[in-house]
Amino acid sequence: MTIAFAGNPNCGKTTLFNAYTGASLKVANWPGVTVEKKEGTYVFGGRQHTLVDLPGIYSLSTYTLEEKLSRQFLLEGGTDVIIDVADASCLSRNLYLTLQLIQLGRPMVLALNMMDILKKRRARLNVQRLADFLKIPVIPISARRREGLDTLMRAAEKAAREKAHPAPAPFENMEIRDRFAWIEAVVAACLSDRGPKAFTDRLDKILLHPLWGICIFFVIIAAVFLFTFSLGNFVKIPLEAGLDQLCVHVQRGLEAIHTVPWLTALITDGILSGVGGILTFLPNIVLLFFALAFLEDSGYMARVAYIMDGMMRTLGLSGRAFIPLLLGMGCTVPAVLASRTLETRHDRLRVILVTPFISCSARLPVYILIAGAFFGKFAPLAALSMYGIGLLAAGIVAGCTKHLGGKNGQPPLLLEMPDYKAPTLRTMLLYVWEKIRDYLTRAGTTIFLASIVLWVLLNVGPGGFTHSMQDSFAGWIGRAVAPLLAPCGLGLWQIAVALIAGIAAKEVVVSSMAVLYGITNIASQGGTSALHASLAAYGFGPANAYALMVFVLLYIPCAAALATIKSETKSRLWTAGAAALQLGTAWVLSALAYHIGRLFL
Amino acid sequence: MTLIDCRVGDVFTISQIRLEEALRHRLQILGILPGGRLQVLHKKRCGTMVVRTMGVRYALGAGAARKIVGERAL
Repeated sequence: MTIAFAGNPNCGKTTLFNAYTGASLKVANWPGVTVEKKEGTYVFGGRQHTLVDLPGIYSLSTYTLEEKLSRQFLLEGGTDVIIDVADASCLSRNLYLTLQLIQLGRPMVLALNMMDILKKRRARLNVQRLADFLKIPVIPISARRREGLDTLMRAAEKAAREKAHPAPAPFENMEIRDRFAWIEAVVAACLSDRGPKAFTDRLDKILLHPLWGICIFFVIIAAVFLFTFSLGNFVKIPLEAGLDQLCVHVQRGLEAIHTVPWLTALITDGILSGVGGILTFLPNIVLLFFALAFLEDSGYMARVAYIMDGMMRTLGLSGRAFIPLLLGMGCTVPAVLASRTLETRHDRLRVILVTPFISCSARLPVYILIAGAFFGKFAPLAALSMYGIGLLAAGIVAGCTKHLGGKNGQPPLLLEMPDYKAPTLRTMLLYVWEKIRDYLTRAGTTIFLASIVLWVLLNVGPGGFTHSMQDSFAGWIGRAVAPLLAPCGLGLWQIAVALIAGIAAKEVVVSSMAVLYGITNIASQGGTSALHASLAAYGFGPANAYALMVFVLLYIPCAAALATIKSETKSRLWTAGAAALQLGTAWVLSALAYHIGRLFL
Repeated sequence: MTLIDCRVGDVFTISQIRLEEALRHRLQILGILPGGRLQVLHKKRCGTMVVRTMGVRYALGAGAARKIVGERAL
C-alpha cells in the first residue's frame, strides 16, 4: 500500500515520515525544508507500506517548483491513501488544503499534528465534531512526541481497504472567500480558546526590531562562528594527540613487519596525514552544525528572511532568497537545492549563482589551519572575516546580475513565520549526525582517494619514482599553474597543487598541504608551526595567507556542488559559467586582498 | 488607503488586492483576501511587514503591501 503525506509547509510531515520509517530526513522550523519527494517503507502489523513524504503545499494550485512535484504526485493518483497532515495549532489555514484534497475523492485521513502545542496553549479541540463536519477520519497526533502514530496508521489502512471516498461536502462549489468563511465557522465550532501566542510575540518584538533586529542577527552569526572556533579548537586537542599516537604506532608497526619503505610512506605521509588531518577538524564541524540546527529548529530562520528583505531587495532579490544563502554556511549542496522554494526561475538561477560564494563548512578547516598558522590570537577574527567577504562577494554578484535575463520584476516577500519552538535534542542530533556522516564519508572516499592520488603524483615523475617532489608530475603541474596565481601572492607550486586538488572537496586543500609538506598532524600546534615555517621559508607571510583564504573561499565550488548546480540549472553552460565566474572573482579579490594586505601586514 | 499606510498595531480590513493573478491567488489561499482582516505586528522602514491573519503570521514585502487596498478597522 502506498501512503502519501501531504499538507502545508512546516506542519510536521517529515517528522511524521521519520517517526514511521526511522529515516533521518532533515526537519526544521521554517517553511520549505523539504524540496524533494522522499520514499520509505514501514511495516505495520506484518504489512509493508510505502510512505511518500511530499514537499509542503498550501493548495493544489501551485506557486513554486517544489510545490509542483507534490501537486503532480497527488493528481496522478499514485497513492492508495492520503494522510493530510495539518498543524492543529493553526487549523484554519491548514483546512483549506484539506478541503481541496477531500474534493480529489481519494481515500484520506486527516492527521492533526502538534496537538501537544495545542494542549500547552490550553486549547480544546473537539476532534469528533471536526470529523463530522469534514466527513473523513480525523486522528490527533504529535509526531515529535510519537503519539497517536499507531491509531493513524490503522485509520489509513482502514480508509485504503474500504476505498473510503469522502462524501460530497457542502463546500464543493464554494469560492475561496466562502470556503474560508465555512472553515472559520467549523473551527469556531470545534476549537475553544484560540489563545494568543504570547511568547513568540514577545520575542519577535526584540528580534524583529527595525534597528536591533539586524544587529542581533549579525551578533548571532558572529557568536556562532566564534563559538565554533574557540570551543572547537579546545575540544580537538585530544583528537590531535590521538592522531599523533596513531601515526607513531602505525609507522612502528609497518617497520616491524618490514613493509617496503614506499608503502610505509604512502600510509603515513599520504593517507594518515591527509585523512587524519581532516578528521581532527570534526569538533569544529560538529559545533557549527549544532549552532545552525538550533537556529533552524527554533524558528529564527524565517525571521532572517524578514530582517534581510530590505537589503536583498536592493540586490533585486526577495528576503526569502537569504535562506539558501544562510544554509550555504553549512553546505552549498542543500543550499542550492533550497533555491527551489523561490518563485521565479530568474531568482532561482541568480541564487544558485551566488550561493557558492557563501563560505561552507568544508572551507572551515582551511581557515582554521591557515589563520592559526599566520594570525595568532587574531586567527578567529581573520577566519570570521571570510564569512563577511563571502557575503560581500555574493552581494556584488547578485547586484551585477540584477538585470540578467532582462527580467526585473521581483515577486514580493511572502513567507509564513512559524511560532518559536524549543529545538528538540533529537532533531538537532539527527541534523548534526547527517552532517558528521557526510564529513566522514568524504574523508573516507574523496579525501582518502585524493590523498593517495596526490601522494603518487608527488612521488612519481616522467622518470619514474622520484625523491624530489619538484620533479614529480604534481610538481610539473604546480609549476605550470603557479605563475597565474603569483599576482594573488600564491605563486608557490605547492599552493597551486593544493588548490587544484581542492576542487574535489575543499577540505582536500588541508589534506594536500599535509601531504605536500610532509606534516603528519597538521591541525596540531606543532603541525601548524611546521606549516608556518615551511611556507615562511619561501617568503609566504600573513598577506599571502589571507589571500589564500580569500581564494579558497571564492574559487570553483567542490565537485558535489558543481554537480548540484548542473542538475538544478539543467545547463552545462550555466554550470561552466558559474565556475568561471567564481574563479575570476577569486582571482581578483585575492589579488586585491594580497596587495592591500601587504600595506598593513 | 493601502496596507503599507498602516502602523504597527493597526487592524486592516481588505477590500481589494491589486496584484497579478498568481500572487493574488497565493495570498487568497493563505487567507489574505477581500473581506479578511490583517493585524500589523511589525513594520520596517522599507515597508516590509509582519501581519497576522487567522492566527498565522506572514512576512509581507512592501511591493505587495502597497497593492492591498482597504481601510483601518475601528
